Amino acid sequence: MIGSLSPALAYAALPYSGDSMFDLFYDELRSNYSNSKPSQRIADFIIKEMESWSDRGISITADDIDLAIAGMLFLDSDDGLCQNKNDMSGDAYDFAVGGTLVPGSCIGLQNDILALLNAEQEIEHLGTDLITLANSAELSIADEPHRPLDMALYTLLVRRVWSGTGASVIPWDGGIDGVRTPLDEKFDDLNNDLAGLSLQDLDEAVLRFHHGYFRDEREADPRFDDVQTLIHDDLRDLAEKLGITGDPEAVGVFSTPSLTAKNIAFWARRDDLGLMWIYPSHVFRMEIKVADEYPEMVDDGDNLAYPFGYEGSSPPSALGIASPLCSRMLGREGYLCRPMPKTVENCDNTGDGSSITLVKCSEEVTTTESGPLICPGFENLFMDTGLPLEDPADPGHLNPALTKADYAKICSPERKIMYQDDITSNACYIALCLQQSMSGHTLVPNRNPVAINEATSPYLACIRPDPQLGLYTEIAEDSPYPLPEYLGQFLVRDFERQYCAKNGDAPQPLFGLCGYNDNENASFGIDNPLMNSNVTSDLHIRLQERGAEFNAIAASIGQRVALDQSIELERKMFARLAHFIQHIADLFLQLERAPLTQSACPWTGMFRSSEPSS
Amino acid sequence: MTIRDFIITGWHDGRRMVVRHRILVLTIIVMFAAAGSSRFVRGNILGTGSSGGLGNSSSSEQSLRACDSKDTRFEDVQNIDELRNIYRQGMTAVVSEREKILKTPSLWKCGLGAAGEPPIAELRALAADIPGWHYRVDTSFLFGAVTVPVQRPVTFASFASIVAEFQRGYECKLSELQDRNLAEVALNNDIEKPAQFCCVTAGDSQGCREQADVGICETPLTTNPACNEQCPVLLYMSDLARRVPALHQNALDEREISRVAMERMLSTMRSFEVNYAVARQFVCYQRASLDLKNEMSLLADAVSCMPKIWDAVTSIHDKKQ
Repeated sequence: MIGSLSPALAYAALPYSGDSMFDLFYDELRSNYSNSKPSQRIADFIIKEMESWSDRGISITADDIDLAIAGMLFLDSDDGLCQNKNDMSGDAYDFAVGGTLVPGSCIGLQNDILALLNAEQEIEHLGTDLITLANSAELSIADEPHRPLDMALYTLLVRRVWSGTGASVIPWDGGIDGVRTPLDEKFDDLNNDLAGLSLQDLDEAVLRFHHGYFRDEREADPRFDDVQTLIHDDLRDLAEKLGITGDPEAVGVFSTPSLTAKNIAFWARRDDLGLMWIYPSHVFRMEIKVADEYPEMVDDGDNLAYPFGYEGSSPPSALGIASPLCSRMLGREGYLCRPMPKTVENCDNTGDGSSITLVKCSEEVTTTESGPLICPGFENLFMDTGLPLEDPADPGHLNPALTKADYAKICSPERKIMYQDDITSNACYIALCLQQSMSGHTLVPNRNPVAINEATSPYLACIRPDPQLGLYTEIAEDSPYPLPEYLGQFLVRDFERQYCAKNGDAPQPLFGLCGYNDNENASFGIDNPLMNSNVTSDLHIRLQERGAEFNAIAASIGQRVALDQSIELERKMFARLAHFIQHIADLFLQLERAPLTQSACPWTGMFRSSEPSS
Repeated sequence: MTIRDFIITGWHDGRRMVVRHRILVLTIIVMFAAAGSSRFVRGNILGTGSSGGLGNSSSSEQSLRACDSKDTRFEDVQNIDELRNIYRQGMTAVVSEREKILKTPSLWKCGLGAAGEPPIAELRALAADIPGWHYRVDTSFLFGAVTVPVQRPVTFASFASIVAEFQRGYECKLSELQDRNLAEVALNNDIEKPAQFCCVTAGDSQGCREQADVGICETPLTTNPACNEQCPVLLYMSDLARRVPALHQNALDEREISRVAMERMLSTMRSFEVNYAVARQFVCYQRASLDLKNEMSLLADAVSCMPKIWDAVTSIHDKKQ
């Protein structure tokens, strides 16, 4: 024991209950572990299956399943598994005499119950394994709130800083210090109703409303009609208070409070609202039906993510957001959710869409005859007339009632200009101000207006040389806002961790631990390095042999991965940056077209050598 | 050659010698540094010390560490419920810490290497209690050499390995308990806590039993499952028949449940971990962008005064007519 406290003192021996992700899995495993009481769902299933047991069926209860597990077939109190049982027509059941192979025997009943129980528990276990595998790849990119590492949100935030556009997070209109707003009260209703539900009821509620209350309404799956109607009504009331009408095109996500029930979260977007598991920990199975009625698969579905037709009452017009995936904030911009292009602008579109065709496209280039061209096509600077910048009817979007500013007089005195506080708008404003100033004035070289402090210099350039000439000239410094470093080696490590994960190995802490080839894959599983020290030391030797080779390829792989990731994830962001730099470059390039004064001292003539002036 | 020439030459040679000597010293230092650094690099890559040169440690000694609870948090505890609590508290601490870090981008740091590591105090504390997370190196001390334990690097990325090693320690302890189940039952260590014990007389024997199991206690209640030396634990054959297999099964279940829970946790965490590096870049980029945005805002404010400044002093620039 390392450490000074004795363990008995340090760790009180009370039943432990933590609230980490680990505790969630541990507690659920312990409560569903074989040989313990079966879940309500499995018990119901077994009771139902036993209704057609043997030839007459047998009526049993959940308690009988416990008796079967405990092996209590006959008891003195006459309430053992094989005592006082009725068949489905209500007559007393006479068990056949014999072992497990005799139909209708007592041992056969116990055997069949236990076999069903084991099979069901095995299926649940496999289902959980399956969902765990899916979690391991998808949770952080699922674009749902209340989880760690919200990739979608981070992407959108960066975009917003640069362009001022993109989906926004809408604050929850809640009270503080215990004061409850009407919205809070509706939320409390939902919270209390959920807190009173069993795990099975919670499963049903999440299954029905995972993809949204309005989606459930639209799709109108008859199997859900009577499922968790209380929660249905709570969500309906919340939608009303939040002003969510189910418009599938509305964009924006509300920040929502946490629920009391563990591992379950309430989400609300401007198009819909619903419930979700924070960490999906098991698969919930409803009664299985043949999937031929709903949803209907159609051959020419308009996007890859949801090739289904709608049977519901009012299918959304934009099929790109038909699927749950594509209705999410960032998900709707992914390639799976884009409609397949039929025609492309500026192209001859000769193909018929059924084959790969080469098409000819032309791009129009706009040129101006004279004068600087600043912020072309960018119309985000407005007159400040007292109107709010944000559309009150559509938060997160510009107010359509705003008047565009006169870009030629952007910095004139008394001119009030209003714009979003983002990098591009600011840059545009600066550029336009510079343009206006330059077009109204001419510069005298080597003078710094700030150093002169608005006073007339005795050393006018045209009269006598300035003895302090150049003294106030400041050396340009490097930009104080460097772009973040290129984190190449992190990406290499990241790649390797994905590589490990892909091959079924746990992410390794140190670079180079995850070697791989087809034949060795099985022996690299997680148990071996842990439990089998021979394999571990063998692993080290093999890695030692392979280390150099791996290091050599890692660098080039890393470069490739970094490139791929940058292109995919940061394309939009860098497009903004490129535009911005383009604007600034344009500004300075265009300045040479501005009518600058050609002579140093236009009002006295050409520059002369030093001569005392009067 | 004159004497003077000789003296000058000799002086030159002497200086060269000093220079050569310095190069030699420098070379030795560089060689030592290289030897040391290559050891650490290899140690980092392979997770072991190197197997040659100075400060070697046997890699087999590390890899072939026996499956026992020596030097772990579990070493001195024999009650299975207490063990479970120690295990779960350890797991909860590091998993909660990690969840919190992943949920809180304000904890992420934008530096490179160690400067980019988020705060992982719980993970370090857990690693400090894991014998497998140390290796020993020889270091010269006075006229001999001593072996000192060196903790392996604990980084944000070490999580899976540290947790797995902690799990190994727990499972080894549980299997020790299974091996010793008879002995532990004989010490009442299988009884779930909190429980109280006392001395009873039953027939012609007297002994220590759980209070819930007996009628009248002859001694004050104690939480010590073995009461005291005057009153040894009293067991019946039926106790052994019932409690020994139960303890065995309990430990077996616990080994399986804890292992599966850990694997599910690691798998679920994996999604966040593989995207953490990219997410961190985004957040760092956003921070830089916010700075840039604020500077641009200030610049815009300043620039709005530009026409006024330039109108003020006619002596340094003209109004264009």
